[in-house]
Amino acid sequence: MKRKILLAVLLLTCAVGLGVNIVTVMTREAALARESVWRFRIGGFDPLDPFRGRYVEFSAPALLSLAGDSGGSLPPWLGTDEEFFAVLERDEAGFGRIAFASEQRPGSDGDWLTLRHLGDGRVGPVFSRYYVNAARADKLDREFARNRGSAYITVRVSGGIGVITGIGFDR
Amino acid sequence: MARDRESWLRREISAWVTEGIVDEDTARALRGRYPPTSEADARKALSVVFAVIGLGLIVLGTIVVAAFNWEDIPRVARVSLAFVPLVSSYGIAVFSFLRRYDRPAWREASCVAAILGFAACAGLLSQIYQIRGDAQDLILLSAALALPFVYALRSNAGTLVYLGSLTVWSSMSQMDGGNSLWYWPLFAAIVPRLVTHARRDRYGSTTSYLGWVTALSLFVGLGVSMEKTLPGLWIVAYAVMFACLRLAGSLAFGDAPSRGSDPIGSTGFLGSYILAFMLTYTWPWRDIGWKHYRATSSGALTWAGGFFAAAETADYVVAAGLIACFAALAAAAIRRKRLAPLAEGALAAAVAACYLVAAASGAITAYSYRDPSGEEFRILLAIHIVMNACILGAGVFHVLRGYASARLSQVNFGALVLCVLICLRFVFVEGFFENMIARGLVFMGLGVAFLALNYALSRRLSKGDIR
Repeated sequence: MKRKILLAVLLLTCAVGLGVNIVTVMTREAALARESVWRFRIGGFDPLDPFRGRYVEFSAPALLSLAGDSGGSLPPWLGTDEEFFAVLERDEAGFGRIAFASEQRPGSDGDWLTLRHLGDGRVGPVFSRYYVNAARADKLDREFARNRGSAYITVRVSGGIGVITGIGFDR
Repeated sequence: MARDRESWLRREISAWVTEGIVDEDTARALRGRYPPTSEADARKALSVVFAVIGLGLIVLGTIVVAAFNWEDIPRVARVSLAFVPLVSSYGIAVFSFLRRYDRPAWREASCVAAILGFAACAGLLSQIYQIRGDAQDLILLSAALALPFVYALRSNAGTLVYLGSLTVWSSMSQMDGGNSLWYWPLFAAIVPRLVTHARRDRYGSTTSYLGWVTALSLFVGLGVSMEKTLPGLWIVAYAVMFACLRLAGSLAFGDAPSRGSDPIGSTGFLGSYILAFMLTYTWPWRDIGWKHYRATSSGALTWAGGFFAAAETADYVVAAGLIACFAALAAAAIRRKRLAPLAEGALAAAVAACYLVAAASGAITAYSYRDPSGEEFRILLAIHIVMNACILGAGVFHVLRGYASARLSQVNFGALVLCVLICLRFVFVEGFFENMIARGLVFMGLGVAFLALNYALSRRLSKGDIR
C-alpha cells in the first residue's frame, strides 16, 4: 500500500515537472504565433548564467513607467504587489510604451502585457534578459558598448505574455 | 564501523585473549557484536558514489553544452532536445523505483539525475523563449520538485543536493534583495527523512555526512533567511539555535563513539563558543534593539522600504520556535540527566538576557566605551563581564566534568576554551577595558584560583576520591 502511494506521488511529481515545462512551451508558442511585433528601447550588459549560458541583462524603461494621459503616474486603485494590465501603444519612432494601466483584462489580444506593481509607483520588470549564443556574446557586447542608447528588443505578445524574438540597434 | 577502528578493535581483542583479560568465548561474542565491514558493502558504497557522479556529470555536461545556445538549430528541435534530459531522467527514476529499488546505486543516481533533469529542461526552455527569471527561481522550483523523488527513492545523495540547493537558493535570494521565506518550510519538509535515516543507521558514515550538511545548511540558512528588521535579533537566534543543536545532539547521539559521529551536537558545541567569543566584543551590541527598529511601511505581506513584512514576521516566528524548542530540549535533557549540554544552554540563556538588556537600552554605540560615566558604558561593561564569566565558567565546567568522567577530549576542550579566552583578553582587548592594572589583577586572581583548584584536586586525587 505504502509503495503504491509512493509510486503515485512519484508519477504525480513527474507529471508536474513535465506539465510546468509544457505549459511554458504552449504559452510562449502562442505569443510567437502572432504577427504583430513590438519594439522596446533597452540598455544593458552581459553576464553568465550556469544553466542558460551567456545573456544580455537589460532594462526596458518604457515598460517601467506610464507615458500616456495619466502623466506617468500609476492609477490610485493599484495596490502594492498587485498585477495590472498594461495596454501598449507606439510612440512617434515606432517604439512601444505603456499607454495606460487597466484594471480589467483588455478584450483585444496582442497589445497588452500583464505587469506587477511593486509599490511606490515602481513596476516589476517583465523583460530583462536576452540569451545569446556563446560564440556571438562578445561581439554583441562590443556592439552594445558602441551603440549605447540605440539598442532595442523585438517582442511578440499574446495573453499578456511577451516573448523576445530578437535584439537590434537602430543607429 | 570505520575500517581503522575495526582493525584496532580486532587487535585489542586478540591482545585481551593473550593477556587472559577475556576468554575465547567472550572474544568470539565481542567479534560477533562488531562484525567486519564486508568487501561487498564497500563495493556497494563505491558503486553508489560512481553511479551518482557518472549520471550527474552526464546531466551537467548536457546543461553546459546546451547553455552554449545553439540558436541556429530550429526552435522545434531545440525544444524537443530540452525535454530529453527531463523525460529520460524521470523514466530512469520510475524504472529504479519499480525494478531496481533494492539497488542503492540505481536509486541514488536516478534521483540526482531527476533533480538535475528538471533544472536542465526548465533552464533550456527559458533560454529558448528568452524568459526572464533568475537562477534562484529555477533552483527553488527544482528543490521543491526534488522532495518527492528524495522520499520515494530514499536517496541520500538526493537529500544532499536538496539541502545544498535550498541553502544556495536562500543565500542568492537574500543577496539579490529578495527574501528566503521558503527556507524554513522546505527545510522542515526534509526533517522526517533525516530522522528516519538516523534511526536506521545511527552512527553510519552516511548519517554523519548528512548531519554535517544539515548543520551547515541550518547555520547558513538561519543567517540569510532573517530579514533583520529588529537589529541584533540574530544574536539570540544563533545562540539559541546552537544550544538546541547541542542539546539535540546529546539526546539523540549521546553515546556516539567520537565527536565526528555527532555532527549536530558538535556544531552546536563549537558554534556556541565561537559566538560567545564574538559577543565578548562591542560590535555585536552596537545600535541594536527596538530603538533602532527598521520599520516596514505597512503590515502587508509585501516588499516595503527594503524589507519584506512577511519575512519580518517570519523572523519572530523562527526566534519564538527556536526558544520553544530550546525549552523542550532543556527539559528533556534535565529529565534524562544529560547535564553536560546544559552548560551551552546556560550560555544561550545568558546571551538572551544580555540581548534584552542591551536592546531595551538601545544606547550602545561605537563610542560608548569612551565615557565611563555614561549608562551605556555600564551596560557594556556588565555584558562584557557576564559573557567572559559565562565562558570561563563553561570552560572550567568542561575541564572538571571531563576529569570526573575520565573523558580526556572534554578536558582538552575545556582547556582550549580557557586558553582562547585568556589569549583574547590578554591580546585583543577593546578600548573600554584597557585598564592594565585591573586586567593584571584579574589575571593574577584567576591564576591563584586555578592553582588553588589544582591543589584541592591533587589532594583529593591522592586520597583516591576522584578517578
